[in-house]
Amino acid sequence: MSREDFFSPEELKSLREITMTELKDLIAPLGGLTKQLRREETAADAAEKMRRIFHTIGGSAALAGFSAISALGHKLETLISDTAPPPEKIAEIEKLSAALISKIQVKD
Amino acid sequence: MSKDEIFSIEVSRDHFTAYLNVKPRTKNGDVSVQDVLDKLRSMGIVSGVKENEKIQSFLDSMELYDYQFVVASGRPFTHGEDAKIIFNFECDARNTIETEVESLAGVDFRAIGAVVSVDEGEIIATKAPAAQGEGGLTIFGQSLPGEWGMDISLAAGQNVEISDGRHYVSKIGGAPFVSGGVIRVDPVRVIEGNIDYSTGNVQFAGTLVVKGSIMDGFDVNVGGDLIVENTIQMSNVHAMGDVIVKRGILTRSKGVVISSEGSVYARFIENSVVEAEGNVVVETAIMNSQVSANGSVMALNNEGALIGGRTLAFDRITARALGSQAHPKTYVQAGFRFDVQKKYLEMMGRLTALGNEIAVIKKDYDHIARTSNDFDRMGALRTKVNKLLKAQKEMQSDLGEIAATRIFNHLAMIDVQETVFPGTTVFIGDGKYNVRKGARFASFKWDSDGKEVYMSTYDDTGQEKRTTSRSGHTVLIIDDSKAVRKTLRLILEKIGFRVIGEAEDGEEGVERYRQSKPTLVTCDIAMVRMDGIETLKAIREINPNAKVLMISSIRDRKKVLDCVMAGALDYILKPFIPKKVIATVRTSLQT
Repeated sequence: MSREDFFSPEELKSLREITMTELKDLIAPLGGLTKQLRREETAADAAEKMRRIFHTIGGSAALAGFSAISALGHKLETLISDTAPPPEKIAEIEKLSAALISKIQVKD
Repeated sequence: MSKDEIFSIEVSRDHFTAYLNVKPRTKNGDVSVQDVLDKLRSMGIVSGVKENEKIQSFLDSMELYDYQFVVASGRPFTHGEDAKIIFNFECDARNTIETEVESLAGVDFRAIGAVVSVDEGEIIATKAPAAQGEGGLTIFGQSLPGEWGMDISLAAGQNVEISDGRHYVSKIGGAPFVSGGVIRVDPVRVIEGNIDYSTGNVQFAGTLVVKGSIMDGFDVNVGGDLIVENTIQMSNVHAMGDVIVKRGILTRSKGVVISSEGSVYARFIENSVVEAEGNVVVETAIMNSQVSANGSVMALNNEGALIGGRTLAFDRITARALGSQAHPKTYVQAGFRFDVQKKYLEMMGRLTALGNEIAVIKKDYDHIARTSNDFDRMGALRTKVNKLLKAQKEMQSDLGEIAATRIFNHLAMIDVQETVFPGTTVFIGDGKYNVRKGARFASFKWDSDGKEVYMSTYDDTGQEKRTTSRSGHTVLIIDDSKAVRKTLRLILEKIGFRVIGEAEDGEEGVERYRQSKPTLVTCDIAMVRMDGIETLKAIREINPNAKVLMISSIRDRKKVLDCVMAGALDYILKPFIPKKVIATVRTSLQT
């Protein structure tokens, strides 16, 4: 039995709306955290927070069937596995974060 | 004033009636019969016109009567007779039970199972075809044909042929039966005494009549109905038709089954296992038995009671009493097909056994961790638990497949004509009602809004009173994601659980657990403030028997084993597959 068979259309709509709100709340601090990633004294803490955010985004988006957002969230979670990623990785993280933010904002 | 202003002719929509309307305060003589006839002719109304005298009489007495008169009437067409089947044999009281399940008080059980016999070549039924009604004629002279009556369909089944398009003729000597729109004739075999060592096991394609009893230790397989004049003892019996036992079913064993693809009728059922695709109808009591029907179970006459044992029906259970004054444990369930429920419970049983096996290993692990720290031994136990958890997940998946076929009949009900005694547990679907206080004239039904069973009784003023049992399962959901909490809540509430709280983090979760002590907790493994394993440990300090399920993403599944070893019952992976969530939750509650 798929989600579409189990939940009514109204329930699915409600779940998507709640998830979107949650995703938007989650991406809010990403801009500031990405900047902190570039500073040695704050990199480890920022990396931990960002990994947690991407982990939650990956899981929550999958629940609502937003598979592209979920995949990007999980990819970022894997990328940011180092406590203080090197500069070349930070650039990639920034690029993918921007793509993730854009996907979430467009989904509205 | 012109004539048209004084009177008019109105025609009904079906063209069968014309009304002469005359304005009020018209004086006699202002309208003549000829005026009316001319008007009718100009409108094409040529049939059924009233005689001139009657029209004149109306016109003369307009001041006394209503100013409307039926001036022309057509002849409506009629409906013809419906087709019907005239049976040349008596159908027994089973037909009454099929159609009038509300009360069996007037049914003579002795009249059930009387075997009617027909000869080869005999006309056993005749179809009187539908007839056409009489034609009609409108006031405009148009003829309309009469309507045909409804046709009726009766197919010729085994050993019956149709002759001349309307006569049903038996091809053999035997017993006629009408069922499901088909008329058939079964060969009939009569065993004058018992089924015992003199007859051995019996297999017969038609209807079998046993004038005595079916004794212990035999197998009886019948292609038509089975009619037993006395009792059925400890034997396996299967009939493709009905099983009719004039006295009782008394196998004294749960190892043999009396089963019917039709219905089972018996005077009483005691210490037996009975299964029917149709109904189970008992004249007196069902005692300490396992009775299952994919139709209804009824025990209404005399002391019709269900006492002890388990009774399951898909549609309805109706009895004069449930339980007795001795308060024996009596389980009564309506709403599921018994064949599906059997598979489901079997799988649940296997999962429970597996869950218990895991629990034993975890106890060993705890003991070793506390006393000797033998890491090799602990590692071996972890590996074993991991393997069993995988097996558990596969079985839960199978359970999910079975659950998908386990259709719940929301309209199922249990009806007690007199008393329901304490000690009785009633289920409608999975919703449970424990009867702690006796009640009279009670019905048990499913409330689709509240997702629970309720008992409906009536007070002295005739007002309905509803009560529910407070034994439903409660759940606390601990997760930092609102979307996860909402999804889980929707899934759990759909299967009748009450979500009594949600918490955003472990600390809040532990506090809510302390306040409400729910039946079950779901807890995210990865949370910021106080992660899943710390939350689990804190809850188990409050209650070592707390049932906690961990919620994990596939990426965190390595932490699942740590949680299980720390006391979690099981885990659910995200993204949720509803049937797997349900299977995991149900299994956890059995452990």
